[in-house]
Amino acid sequence: MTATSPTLLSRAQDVLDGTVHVPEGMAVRAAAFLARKAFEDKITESCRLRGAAIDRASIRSKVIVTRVLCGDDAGDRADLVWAGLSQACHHHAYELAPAADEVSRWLDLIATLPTD
Amino acid sequence: MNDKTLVGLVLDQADADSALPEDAKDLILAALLGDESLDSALLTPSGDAARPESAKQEQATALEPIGAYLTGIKVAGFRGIGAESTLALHPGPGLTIVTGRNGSGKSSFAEALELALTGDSYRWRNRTALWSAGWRNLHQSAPCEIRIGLAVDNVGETTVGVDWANGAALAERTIWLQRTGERRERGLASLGWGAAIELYRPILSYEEMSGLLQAGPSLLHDALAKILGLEQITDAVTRLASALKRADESSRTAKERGLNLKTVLADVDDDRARVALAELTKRKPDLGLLASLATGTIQDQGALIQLRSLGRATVPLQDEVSEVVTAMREAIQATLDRGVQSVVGQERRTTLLAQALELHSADGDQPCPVCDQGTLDESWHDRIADELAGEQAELTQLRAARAQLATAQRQVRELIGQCPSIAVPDGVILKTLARAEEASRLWREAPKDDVALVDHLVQRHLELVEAFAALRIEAAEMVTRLEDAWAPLAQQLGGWVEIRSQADAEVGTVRALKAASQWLKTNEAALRNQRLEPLANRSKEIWAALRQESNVDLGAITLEGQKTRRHVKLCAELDGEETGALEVMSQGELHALALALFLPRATAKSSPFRFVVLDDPIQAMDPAKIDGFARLLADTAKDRQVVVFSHDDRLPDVVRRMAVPGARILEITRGRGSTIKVRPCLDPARRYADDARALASDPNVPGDVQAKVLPGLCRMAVEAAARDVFYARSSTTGVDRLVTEEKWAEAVRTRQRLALAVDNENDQWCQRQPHRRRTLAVCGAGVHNGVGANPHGVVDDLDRTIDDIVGGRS
Repeated sequence: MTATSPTLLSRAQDVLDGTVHVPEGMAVRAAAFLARKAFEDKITESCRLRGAAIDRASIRSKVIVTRVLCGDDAGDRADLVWAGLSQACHHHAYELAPAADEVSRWLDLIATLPTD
Repeated sequence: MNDKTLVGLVLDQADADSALPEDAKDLILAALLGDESLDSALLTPSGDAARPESAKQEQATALEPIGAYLTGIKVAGFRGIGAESTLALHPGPGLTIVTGRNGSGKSSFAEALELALTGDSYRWRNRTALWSAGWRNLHQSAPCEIRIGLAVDNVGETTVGVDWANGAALAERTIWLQRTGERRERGLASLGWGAAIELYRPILSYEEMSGLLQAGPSLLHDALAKILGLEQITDAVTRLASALKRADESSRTAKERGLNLKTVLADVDDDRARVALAELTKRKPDLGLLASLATGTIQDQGALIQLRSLGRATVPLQDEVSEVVTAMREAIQATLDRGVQSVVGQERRTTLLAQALELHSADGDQPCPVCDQGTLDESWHDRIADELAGEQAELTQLRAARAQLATAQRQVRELIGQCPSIAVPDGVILKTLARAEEASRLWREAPKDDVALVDHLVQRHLELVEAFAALRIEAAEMVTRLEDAWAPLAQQLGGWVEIRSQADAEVGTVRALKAASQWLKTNEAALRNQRLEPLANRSKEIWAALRQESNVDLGAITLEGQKTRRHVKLCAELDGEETGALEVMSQGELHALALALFLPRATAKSSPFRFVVLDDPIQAMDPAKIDGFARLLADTAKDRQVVVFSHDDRLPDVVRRMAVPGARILEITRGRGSTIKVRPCLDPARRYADDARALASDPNVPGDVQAKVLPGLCRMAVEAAARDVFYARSSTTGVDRLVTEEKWAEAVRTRQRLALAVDNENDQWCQRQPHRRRTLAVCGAGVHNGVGANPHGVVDDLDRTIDDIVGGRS
């Protein structure tokens, strides 16, 4: 399970840049789903590495724990990615699908989350 | 950032230029300060090195501005706000987002602030037209007032008020200032913000900026120039140019009229014209001489003198001549009557007889010693004595007649001599001259004989009188002709002398103005870009933070061109290709660019304004840029009070998620009749408490993890609350900002920081309430034993403790 994060991230990137083909118009949202899964894995792992085994806790709890244990900087990034991805992975009235650029940036942010 | 005010910068450069005269420097300074300053500088004599007092003050205050935070904005009856509403702000570094839907009244707070603080300023004067109608609230127009709460460095609470009387126009406002415990004073002058508010523009309405990037090169130039305060230079250039034109006008008019006058004078046959022309041709004409020529206070020249005297020439009058003729005739007759005997022979005989009588009287009768025949006796003596007495009387009469004749002759000579000699100016032709000269010549040719002389007088006098009368008339007519021709010229000449004197008096001013104008024009471009450089660099940094995925890289930013060709040159690289920035940017990117361009100025270190207010800055901004923008704001908020008005929930949303120290979110809602409500959505301490609550409520977070994390959240929450209270109190009581920051940085532990906010001497404040004691215990506790079995209890205690700190409970 711990190995899935980087894999998922690169998968998401592949979907985003078209290396892996998904039906037209679906790519960005698909990438966002993959990114979200990668984020969840990463943050769970990050908490566990810092002595907080809270695999089943909510993502918000995990983000809060990350902030306290890893500092505000990491907390901010986690918070931003999580907010963006939650938004992107549900359908909202009046809200447009995320731009590829945005998902791409989230992927970058996820990659910078602490893992040790 | 450059720490100098624009005026200071220009002056430093001007001072460094040794080729620039002192009076030109003074004029540059005055022109930068405004019309009035320039006018008064032009009135003071040139070479007076003393700079205007106001300018010195301006410089001084610009160098030492008083720092200030905002404590709140209270508005009634203004724009979208009816009943009195207050927007309380935290007077310290930190980010405050004020949200509200469009039309909720949030912009009215921003505008009220801008009007109150910058209403007297340079920029506002050009803007009021937009607002002339509809500035009063429609639902409630009275009272109409604005109160701005300021926490001023080293002074404490200060209120700026703006009041309008009922029915008053926007411009008819009273602006005042009141420091705690002091009297109200009119205007904001004593804040010393005059120059700074122009230069740093801490209140930035986005509306104003948004259109400008696309509105055309010159408008963008102006907008940037305004942000930089560069319009001051441009205005000064214009001011100097028009002052120069005005000052130079007399000189130009003098030159023009002088040429004209020379042409006219050259055609006039008048000695005065010749003298005037000679003077006019000189480089430095004798204005005194010309003025007296014009006014006639100078003595007449050549021809005119002679003509005038001819006009006055008199000959002996008829009466005089008759009198003399009569006297002459009488004298001639008298001498004729006495005959022509030899008076001398008579006298010799008389002398001899007188001596014979004496001889007879002395020696008695005797024969005559002369003839030797007769006898000198008594009878002879008596006869001869009688005879001698008779002869004596006759002789006396004859002498008298002769004296009478001599007198008459002298009178005649005098009369003849009275005829004036005739001097005629060169080149003047008089028709009557020959006759007068002939009459005069004949009159003077007097015969020797007395009788002939009398006839001469009688015969020649009439002709003499008539000839001279004709000459007088002609000479007088000629004088009048000359004067008539001269009068308008004299007037022109007088007018010219006046203008030339004025031009001469202004010659120094004109020279100084020329130098000032030329220098400022030459150095304008360099000054502009020097002024721009630090800002441009910071702009590039900000752009880098905001650009996120944008493939546009911002390069050099310079102000180019002049007048109608002025523009901002923004270099950009689009995927490595050089291009103009404006052409390739999207609307959102342009907005980001606008922010990048003006935020550095508003938050310059040298600015006295510890606050920056942004009105609706993220319209049309990409979501990705909002993250970057929020970071930028958070960064700025580390040492600035940043207030952002936003109708958009995206920015508050991002800020909620970021641990921005001191970040708060206020929501403005609008009820019926323009009633505005402000309620806090989030403050930093509550945010940590919320996180703590969320964690405590998550059944899937095991107790050991809660025990590990909750103490950290409690610490952050208590410290955030303490920091708010401490900073707010410090700034409203006038404690220096740096002292506040130092004190906060020195207090490292939670209890030390708490003690800055509440009086916790001997831990009494904590001990007074069990929830405080427990919360502080959790904050200070180790990872393992801080929370116990009841995480919700910990969060409850935390909430109440935060209430106590924020509420200032003892």
